[in-house]
Amino acid sequence: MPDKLVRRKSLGTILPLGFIFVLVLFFGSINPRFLSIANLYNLIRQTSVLMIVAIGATFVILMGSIDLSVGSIVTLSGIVSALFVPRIGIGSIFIGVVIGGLAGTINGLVFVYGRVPSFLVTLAMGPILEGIALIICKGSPVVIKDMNFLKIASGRLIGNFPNIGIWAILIYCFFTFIAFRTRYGRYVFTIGAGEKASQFSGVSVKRIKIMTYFVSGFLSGLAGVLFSARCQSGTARMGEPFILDSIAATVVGGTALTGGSGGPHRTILGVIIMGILSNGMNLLNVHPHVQIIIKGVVTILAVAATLDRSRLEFVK
Amino acid sequence: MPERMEMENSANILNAENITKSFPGVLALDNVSIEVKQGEIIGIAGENGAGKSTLLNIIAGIYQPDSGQLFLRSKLYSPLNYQQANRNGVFMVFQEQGLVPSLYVYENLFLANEGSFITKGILNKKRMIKEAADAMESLNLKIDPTKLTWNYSFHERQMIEISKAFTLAKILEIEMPLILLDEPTSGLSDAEIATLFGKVKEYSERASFLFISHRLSELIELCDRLYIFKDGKNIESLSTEHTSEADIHEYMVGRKRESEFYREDLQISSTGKEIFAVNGLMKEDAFSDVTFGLNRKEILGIGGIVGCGKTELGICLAGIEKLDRGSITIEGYDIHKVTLQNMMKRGVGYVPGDRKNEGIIGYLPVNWNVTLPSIPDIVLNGLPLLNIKRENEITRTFVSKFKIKTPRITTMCYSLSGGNQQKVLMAKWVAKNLKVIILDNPTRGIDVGAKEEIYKILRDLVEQGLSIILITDDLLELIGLSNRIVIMKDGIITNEFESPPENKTTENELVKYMV
Repeated sequence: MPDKLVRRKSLGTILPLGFIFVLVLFFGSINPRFLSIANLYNLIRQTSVLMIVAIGATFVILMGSIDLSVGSIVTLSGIVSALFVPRIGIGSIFIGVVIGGLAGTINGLVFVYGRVPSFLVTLAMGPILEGIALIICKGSPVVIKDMNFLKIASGRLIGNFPNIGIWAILIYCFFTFIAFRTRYGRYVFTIGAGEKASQFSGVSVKRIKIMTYFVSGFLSGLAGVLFSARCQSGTARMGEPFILDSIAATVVGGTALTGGSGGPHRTILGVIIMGILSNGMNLLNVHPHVQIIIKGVVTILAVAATLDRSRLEFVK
Repeated sequence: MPERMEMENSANILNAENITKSFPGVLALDNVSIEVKQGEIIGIAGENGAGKSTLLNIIAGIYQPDSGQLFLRSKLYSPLNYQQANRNGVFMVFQEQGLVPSLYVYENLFLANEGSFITKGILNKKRMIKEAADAMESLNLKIDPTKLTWNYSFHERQMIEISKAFTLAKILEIEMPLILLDEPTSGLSDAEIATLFGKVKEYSERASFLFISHRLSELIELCDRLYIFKDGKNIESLSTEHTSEADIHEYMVGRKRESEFYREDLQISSTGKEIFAVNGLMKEDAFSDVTFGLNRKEILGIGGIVGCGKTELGICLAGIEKLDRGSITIEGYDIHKVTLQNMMKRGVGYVPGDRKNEGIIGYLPVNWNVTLPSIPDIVLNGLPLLNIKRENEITRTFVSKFKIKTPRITTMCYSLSGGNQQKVLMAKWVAKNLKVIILDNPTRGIDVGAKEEIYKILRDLVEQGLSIILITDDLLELIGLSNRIVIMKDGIITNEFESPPENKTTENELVKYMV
């Protein structure tokens, strides 16, 4: 039994790396354009927003919970910040981040004090926020014309490297540090691996849970602002794909849905895999609808390969 | 001759022969043989960990024995799971988990055996309800099978469990079922117990019963014969006539305590300076009027049978659950709000009895487990940043000090043996530089060698100035380790014993105040 567990653990690291290698070989051999620098930057532009959302999702999943409201938070924060751009310009980044953080905190409070399962709280919070977003924008896209604002995502500060990629790398490094080098980060792991033992050791489980939903909301809010800057508009349903993609990237990267093992450092692998899949399939002209199916299949396969069933009494 | 053999055997519904079963580090059953005759009510008595439940679980097919054989109605019987046991007419009334509360009673009765009610793929509910009502009537039970199960009280649910055994036996066309009762009376009131026993006696013409209980008076009252288990062995078989509780207890305990094992040579007389005092503690349905003091460098033992309230007392002293009444004083300082965080701040730690769920986090490494309660103390320069170097230093110190056998300090805890996990759990709290540590069964389920090491660790800690409240089911451990012993019964302290090394009390002396 321990042997089997060790095997699973190493699979969690080797499998995503191996999969990336196979995907690069596959797409690169069919279409050499896939391996060009221009396409690399393209890939970064396409995956950076997902990277930021997925880091938040990783914290929630590490803690043994789930956040299904990230998509709507991206939409709401994208639309509201786009509305504020004509008035306060770059300052609307803060508007988006505050909206995200607030929505996340509400998720956490209802989950902890209402004792409603996180899955249900966030599932219901999705349409609530989506509805608010639709009312605010009256169903039509909010176009952004402020060039200074657009540059936060599509500009290039360092060589040809897209700015949005800098955001993603900074967030990735900062939150990996948070996970492994801070008190808060440690408690996220211990709650995920053993909530009762953590509580019995004096960990304020409730506070950590609320903070984690705040983190997830905050990052989704930031992602929303950057996404609207990248798309030059805030539109309804713009965040929808991030619900599945953020969970998939986390799990494909090797963070177990059971909580307590994995970490944000791994999620980058999952994001790259999801990104390469989309990018490569685009280059091969795979129909977008077929792409969705393939992504779903990959997610199921990844969970099947990484889920540590010995820790689960029942698979629910 | 062969005919006579058959006659003789047909009277025995169950023969268990030389059953042995071991779990990692523990020999749970050691060559145990028992027999149950048709229509008999048989009791099994023994301390925690004597192997009673293990034997029941083997008979019910939930565990398989390492060696030995079972014969049911003189046929070889080796069930691989509970369903197979059912098909052979063996049913177990589980302590609580057997029924699904949100189902109707009749649905519970036939759960997983609906097959005989299906015609053309459709479940015949009417017939199920009718059969369930008939079953309730034939057992003289006033239970409406069309009600939801959660409407019924605990003892009524026990009766539903028993009627389930009879109805299943009928469906499966078994005449005389064997019904296993695993502590069916824990959590029942006296009146409910009387009802339950009345029913069991009434049904004993139609079934045989095998019954486990901690309450010896019950065993005497209900059973025809008794087996007494000790340390996995079946040491005595008694008829309940002319047997008193004290007789049974003598068999159950009656072990020789070896003072070296408990390092009684290292017992020091406490300083007499009171460090921790509780006054009039009360928690509803658990304990009341609990008052005692704990001196510096003292081990205060708290004993009593399972369910006497000592476990709940430990949990409340730690601040994990709220007290209803009473006060706690630490070094003369009144604790106004008894919460886990406040108690930790005042230097009190609690090592829970449920090591796996409440103590150790199996899927985290040793170092993370050891430092979990100390994280706030080992941050870098007051920032909420982890001092990983310090964390590893602390862990290495305890790994060598407590002789924790682990390949690396980053090894996952689940892969360590029970004894080493217990040492990690102790290290976790000792690392916090406590004044008082509350231990709930610190050596439960670990092997003799590890026990001895833990006793030595406890002696060393006391020598260094720690005070210990030791809550334990193991009477020899209680006597051997404690400076003073408090005995509880039904939530109330019944007596207090001094226990100096040269004049230790005996198990029998303590038991008088426990039952």
